[in-house]
Amino acid sequence: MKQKKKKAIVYPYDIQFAPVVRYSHFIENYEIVGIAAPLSSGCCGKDAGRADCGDDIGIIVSEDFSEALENCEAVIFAKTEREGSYTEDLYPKMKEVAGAGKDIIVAFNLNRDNYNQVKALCDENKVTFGYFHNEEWFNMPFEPPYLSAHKLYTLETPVVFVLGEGEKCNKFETQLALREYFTSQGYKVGQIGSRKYCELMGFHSMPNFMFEARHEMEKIYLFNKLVKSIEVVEKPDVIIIGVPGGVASMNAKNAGYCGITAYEIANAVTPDAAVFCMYYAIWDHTYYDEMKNIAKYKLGLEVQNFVVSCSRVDWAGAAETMNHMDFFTISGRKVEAYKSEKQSEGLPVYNVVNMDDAKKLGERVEDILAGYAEIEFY
Amino acid sequence: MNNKPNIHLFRTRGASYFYDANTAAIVKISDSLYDALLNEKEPTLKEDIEYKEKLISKGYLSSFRPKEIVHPSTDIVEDILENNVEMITLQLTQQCNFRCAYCPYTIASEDRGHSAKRMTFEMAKKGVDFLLTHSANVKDPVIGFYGGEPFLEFDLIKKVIEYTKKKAGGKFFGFTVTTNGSLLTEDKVQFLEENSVIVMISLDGPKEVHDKNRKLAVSGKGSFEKVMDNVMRLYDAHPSFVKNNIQFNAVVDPVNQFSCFNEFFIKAEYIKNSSMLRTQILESKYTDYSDPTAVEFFMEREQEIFKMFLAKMGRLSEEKISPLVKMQYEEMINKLHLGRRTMLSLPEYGHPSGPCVPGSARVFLSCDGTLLPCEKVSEKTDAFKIGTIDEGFDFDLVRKILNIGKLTEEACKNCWAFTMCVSCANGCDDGSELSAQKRLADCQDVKGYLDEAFVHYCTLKELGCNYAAYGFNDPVEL
Repeated sequence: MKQKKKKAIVYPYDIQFAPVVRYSHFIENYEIVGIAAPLSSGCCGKDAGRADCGDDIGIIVSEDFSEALENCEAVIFAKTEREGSYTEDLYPKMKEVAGAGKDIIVAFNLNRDNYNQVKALCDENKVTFGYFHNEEWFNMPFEPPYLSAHKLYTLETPVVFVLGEGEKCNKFETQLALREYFTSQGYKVGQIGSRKYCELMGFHSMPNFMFEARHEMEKIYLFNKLVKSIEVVEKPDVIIIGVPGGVASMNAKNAGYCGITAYEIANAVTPDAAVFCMYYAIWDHTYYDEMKNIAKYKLGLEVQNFVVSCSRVDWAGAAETMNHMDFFTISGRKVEAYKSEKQSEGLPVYNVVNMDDAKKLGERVEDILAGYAEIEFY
Repeated sequence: MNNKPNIHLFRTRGASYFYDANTAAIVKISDSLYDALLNEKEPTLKEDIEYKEKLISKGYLSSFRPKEIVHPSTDIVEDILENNVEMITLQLTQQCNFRCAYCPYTIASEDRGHSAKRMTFEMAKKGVDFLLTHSANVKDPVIGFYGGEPFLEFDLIKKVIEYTKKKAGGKFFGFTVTTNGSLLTEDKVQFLEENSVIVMISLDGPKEVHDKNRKLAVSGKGSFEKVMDNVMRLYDAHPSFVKNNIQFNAVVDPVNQFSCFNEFFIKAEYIKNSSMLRTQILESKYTDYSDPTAVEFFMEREQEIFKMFLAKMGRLSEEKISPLVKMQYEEMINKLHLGRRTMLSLPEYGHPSGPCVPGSARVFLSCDGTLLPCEKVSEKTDAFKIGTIDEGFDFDLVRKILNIGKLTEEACKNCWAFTMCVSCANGCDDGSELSAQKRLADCQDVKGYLDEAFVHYCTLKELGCNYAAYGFNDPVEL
């Protein structure tokens, strides 16, 4: 018999955590019944779905944390775009939560000292402490069976990549939308997400070795081995991989990782379908052709579908500021209008925060994968 | 249709150049090709003919000009102002204990006027809430305190900072205050230091210069001694606060010896050790540029600029450079080196650079709740009243100010300074509305400034100035 989920609220909240709330049924032990956020989140008094400019979620974001706390059994402390102060805001609230005898779930990065402090607080108050943030000193448990190194294994299971122009372009929403679709169709999904708290949603976070100072070739072998392990151990029908970061640098001042993680993942695993997530901008056909070519010749993979997000790059700011990108949030109405225009031109562009579109994207990816099954190879 | 190359020709003592409006490249050319381009004739020398063909084949010397003036952010003004308001400036009071000769509040008939109007805490809270709810995409939003003299309302400043911190949910909010420095008592300084407030103090120079324009309201006497007492005490008791948070702003009246400013600002330890010295020359409408002392001032200033250039070529110690001209070099580097981005072509639909999205960079909230694009514009010009704190922005007005280039569409479409322009709506205010004539007059100043900056920039490069040390965007030289 399945254990009854505990009622939880989320604090703080913004676009970063919107996909988790949108697909919160994937959280194993907790049901999200409320959301609180400081006024500076820009979300207070609005439906939580406004954060990523998508369909309504049905929860109004409250500014009053203490009031929201009364109606729950746990608080999920979430990662947000503009992280608040641990000492001034988050830890005092954790003390309030533990003092009220409620569970604390943390889904943002705590350093080791802060982790120990929160753990001690929970132990002292005899409440559950859940920590979901994969990092160097706190690797999420995953024990792959022995596979020999320095060999690239071929996968028998269909693989879908979700990649994009950079951060904040709906990659995580798309990964969850595909998970939702394939599980609803009865498929067993193996998944590695682009974020560090994916275990909260029941699948694997991007492993830390991909961001460590190792030889790049070693990362490629290890990642291939990890995916093969998932195939062997979990026996999924489909594997979804969310690629962190972008496929290339944005400009000279915002080089990021120059798309190196995407390059490594694409060398480790060859996908059977790929969805490319993009920032909002008024592009013509040329842009889509260029992005397909970048994916084809830089990463060796074929992009069949595009997702447009509500984030638009502040290009003027990006040209002036080193290692920092600012974004404008474009209204859902405009994103929807742009997507409809592109679809009417025959381009496979989707708005995944529109739940109908999210389903259509899933159907299309399923069709692409099914296409490979029409011919039987031995 | 204009078929002439969209370029601006200029010469240094050592070479000839053109600035290519379409690519934002600065291209070195022979003197004979310069003459041919200037006179709109084909070059006659074989090497010039070949070089011109080479330039054209690589996309330079194009006659392309934008088809329509429309700012690229026009359609997303609502989206930008929903989540990207970076700063709000609160006009805490219209009262001041100074009567500065060039202050718009003193010259009441011009822009604004001193009055007993002050902002209530309720209004200030609305302003803070407005920033809190409209800055979700901004990393470090800022609240500015402005007057009149904002320290006349110090209790309100304290309440606003405390209220903001309480509501911010741990997100960092910066605070700035622009002051005449006369009311900086120890208890205020302690509070400001504890809250990391950036304080901009107006200090125009030595006593005789400062007192000429900056007088106390009650006595009509100069304010220098009062301000200096506070500054010296501040420097002695809070050196690290001065270093990190105190900035000085000097409005330099050219009807004075340049050397007297120079000596004052070079010698003053508290200025050398402050976080910034910003200088601006008093506008000609407030002083007499034709006065012989002013003429001499500008000549001395040119000499100091020359010395600064010698320093940049490594021929003079940086220590000998006047702090009053250092900013000019920094501005030039920012504009022509760091800020100039080469590109393939101007857009078909675009707007000259210059205007920010009104309300996003530093929206100004007046005592009575009116929203204006920034603290620099006149509260009396209706065109600048872009909304109210209760009803929000009037987006049509915002779009109108954003598209200020529409006023002078033909001139802007044909202007070589399209992507280098610094003119915004504030320069178009004729006292009652936005004026094309004012913008065109402003345009002449901008182009004059750019032309001089190009000459300085290339001269320094010819003489070995190492711009590469600044990191990005070496000028294109074919």
